[in-house]
Amino acid sequence: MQKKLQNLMSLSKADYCDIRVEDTEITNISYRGRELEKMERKIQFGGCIRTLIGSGWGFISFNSLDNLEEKLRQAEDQARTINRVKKGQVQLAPAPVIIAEEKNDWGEDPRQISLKEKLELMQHYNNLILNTDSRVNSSRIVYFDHHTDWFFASSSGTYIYQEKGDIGGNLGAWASAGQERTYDAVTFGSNNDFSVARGHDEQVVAAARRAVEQLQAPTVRGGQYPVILDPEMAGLFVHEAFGHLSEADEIFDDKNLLQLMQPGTRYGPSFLNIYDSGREWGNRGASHYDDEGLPTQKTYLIQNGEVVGHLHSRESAARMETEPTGSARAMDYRFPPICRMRTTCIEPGLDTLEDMISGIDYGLYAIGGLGGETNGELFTFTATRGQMIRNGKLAEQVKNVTLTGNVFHTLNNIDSIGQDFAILNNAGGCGKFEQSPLPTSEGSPHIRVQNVIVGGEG
Amino acid sequence: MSLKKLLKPGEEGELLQKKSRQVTVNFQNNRLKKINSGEQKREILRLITGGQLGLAENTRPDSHGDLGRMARETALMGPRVDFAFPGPAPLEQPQVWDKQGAEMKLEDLIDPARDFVEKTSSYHSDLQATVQVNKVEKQVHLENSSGFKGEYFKSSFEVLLGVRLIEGQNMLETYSFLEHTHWDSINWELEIEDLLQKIDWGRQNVNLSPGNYPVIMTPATVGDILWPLEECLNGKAITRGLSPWQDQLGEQAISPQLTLINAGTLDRGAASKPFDREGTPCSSFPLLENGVFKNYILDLETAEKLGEKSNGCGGENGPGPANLLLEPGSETMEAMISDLEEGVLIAQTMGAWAGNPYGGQVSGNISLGYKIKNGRIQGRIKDAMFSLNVFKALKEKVSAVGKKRTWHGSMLLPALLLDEVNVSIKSQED
Repeated sequence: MQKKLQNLMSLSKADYCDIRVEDTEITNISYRGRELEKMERKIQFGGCIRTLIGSGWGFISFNSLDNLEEKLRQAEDQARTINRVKKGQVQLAPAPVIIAEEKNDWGEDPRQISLKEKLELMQHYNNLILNTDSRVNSSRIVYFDHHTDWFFASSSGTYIYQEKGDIGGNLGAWASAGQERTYDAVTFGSNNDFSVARGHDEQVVAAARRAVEQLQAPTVRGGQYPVILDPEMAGLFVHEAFGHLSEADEIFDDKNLLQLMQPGTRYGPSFLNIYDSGREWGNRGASHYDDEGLPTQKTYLIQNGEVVGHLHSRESAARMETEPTGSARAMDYRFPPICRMRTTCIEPGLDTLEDMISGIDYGLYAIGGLGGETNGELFTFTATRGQMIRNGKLAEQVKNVTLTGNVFHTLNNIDSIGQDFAILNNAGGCGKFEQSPLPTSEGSPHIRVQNVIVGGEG
Repeated sequence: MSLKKLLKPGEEGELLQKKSRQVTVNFQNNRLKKINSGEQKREILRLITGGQLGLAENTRPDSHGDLGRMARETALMGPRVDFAFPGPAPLEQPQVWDKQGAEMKLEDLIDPARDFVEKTSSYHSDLQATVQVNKVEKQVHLENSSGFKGEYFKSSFEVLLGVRLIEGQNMLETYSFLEHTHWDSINWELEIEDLLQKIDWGRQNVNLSPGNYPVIMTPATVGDILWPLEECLNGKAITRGLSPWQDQLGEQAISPQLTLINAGTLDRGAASKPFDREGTPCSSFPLLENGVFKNYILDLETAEKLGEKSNGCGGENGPGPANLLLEPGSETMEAMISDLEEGVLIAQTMGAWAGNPYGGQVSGNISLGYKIKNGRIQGRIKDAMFSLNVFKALKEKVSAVGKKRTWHGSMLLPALLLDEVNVSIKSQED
């Protein structure tokens, strides 16, 4: 493979050119209720060539490695077409020439576990969930594992092989009574260890019980509250509320955003620190190299409440006159790399959950994340469940908790950060443009945020 | 590769082969940014042996053997199924191939996109336009061991148009997403007019007190709140006992003003095709007629469980609707606005997809919404959320259905005026 890819790169007439080839094997298992829904094996094989000529990028993706030179020329033609109509020259930040081969640092390698064992484990969880209570009448079990051989060569002389893994699961319970339907789940994920799928017996039963308890809970009253976010919700919050804003390909072409995201700009209290890292091994999104062949790293986005960095590709780093951060990621061979997060975290602080709760007269505790979205200015995120806080104490449960905020203001409303810290993985992923789901993970302690808008009944 | 060679005696099977070719032109911040192209070929084999279903997919060329091996391996432990693959049947042939469009050159895709950028930036020099034009040509071939063999070609043009205006920390952004089988179905002028109208209305932010309001949902945002309906009409939710609507065919579910049709073979429909992913002929039928349940969304497996026949909604991940058409009413958008003393117009939402479909509760950020006062748009409301129970709202709170419908992806929708939608909003002193 090395020779084939490097030979091709030597034929390029572009200013810069790279090729990626990915060979991925996938196993999917899912249950819906008692019945096994799907057992699936997949091979996803393909490659792509990216070329830069003057101001233009060309990109072509394919399944077959035949006629690669013809494909290279097509990508060059695309780049030339842009270069003809667009002034300027795309600069790339310098990158080291790397020749490397990186195996994944496996704990339990899912390829060594039989399909039967994986299936029986999921079936076991499914039975536990469905036998918890007669009101638990359905379930949603999802398991997947991906193994990828990833090859990369560039016209600068870099050639890298890396082995990548991605494992994820969702063990969810649905409870029903009359017209009410409620849901709770346990999730897991890793870039290198099947054992994260094991040992969830007690947790799945607890999740099923919570789904049943939620049946009685009223929908939260809409309004503006002080809110405590558990680590999972806080992780979702940091991802949506600040992570996406830090992706530099969104920033560098827009002079207003560039101004808003200048290093030194204050976005949060002085005790707020946020980073993104590609080297949190064991978590979804970790890898040695990004999809431009650059080493990944830990990058602080906010330190002491101020902007200190962004997530860069080589192009965005050159435009913003800084170093690339190994954040150029593509979902798979069908897509060019763009600036993306990996494991995004709020660093732990000094407070305890008890102190946070006791400091609230009337507020909300939002627990477990179902998903979120941002449009660059506003964001939303939805909790699995909620609990009201009254007079400094946890009170009744509520459901259908969706929160919203403004990316430029909400971090400033954080007034307490916990000592606890957990990185959470699940079976979902992050979406940006048409590339979804990309494996990511999030870490945070409990945090408290003032004046959060909550949707709900009047 | 033929199916015959993949199967062993006693096995039933189905081979789906999908080839696609696409070109994407992308303008960001008013400038031509990217040209991408791609070719893909996928083969998906479903195999039934001993009553158990295996599933495998492959994109690696020249490795067909893997497909049979993987499908057989999964079938050993796969789900028990009772359905049989369908045999040959007469098929309708909707118009989904744009011969002229398919022959379009790269420049033909770039020109209208550039024109969009020029028109929007000449309207206001600080407007930043995003345009993505994606031209896709697909060839789908399906055959099974019951004797079905079918093939169709389909073109599609997916166009994302957006404009953004940033003033200080205030961001005003509006977009539309179009998907058409034929290039000449795209009305660029109308889209520009609509986007600029939404920008004009949103230049000024205004205050609104939290509370319950009559709310006009534009056709696009009606699409954002219909998903719990789709989920609850889906055969999967019915057979799992999750849908609150099982055993309710023939019952009045929502307002008699609303009729929702699954249109599988509509000419030029973005989701139209002659047969579904399982070889069942596609057709058109009502899901809800004057608010009464008429049909569920079924594939082979869910139909078999319910003792019915698949209605051609088989997809790669279980049953799914084709084109969804909500029948129009009689009210114009202008009349809906001018009739309101105080209310809200929701033009874009965000995050409304997250949550629990079977309870019907939908909450989302009003990422673009306007306050209406005394029959006029007053300005934009920000930092606001809407929340409603879709089942209840569509049953009890529909006060008008729009006359004009527009396409949003594969949904053709009118606007709706709903009473008493809860709006939470940032209090004015913060």
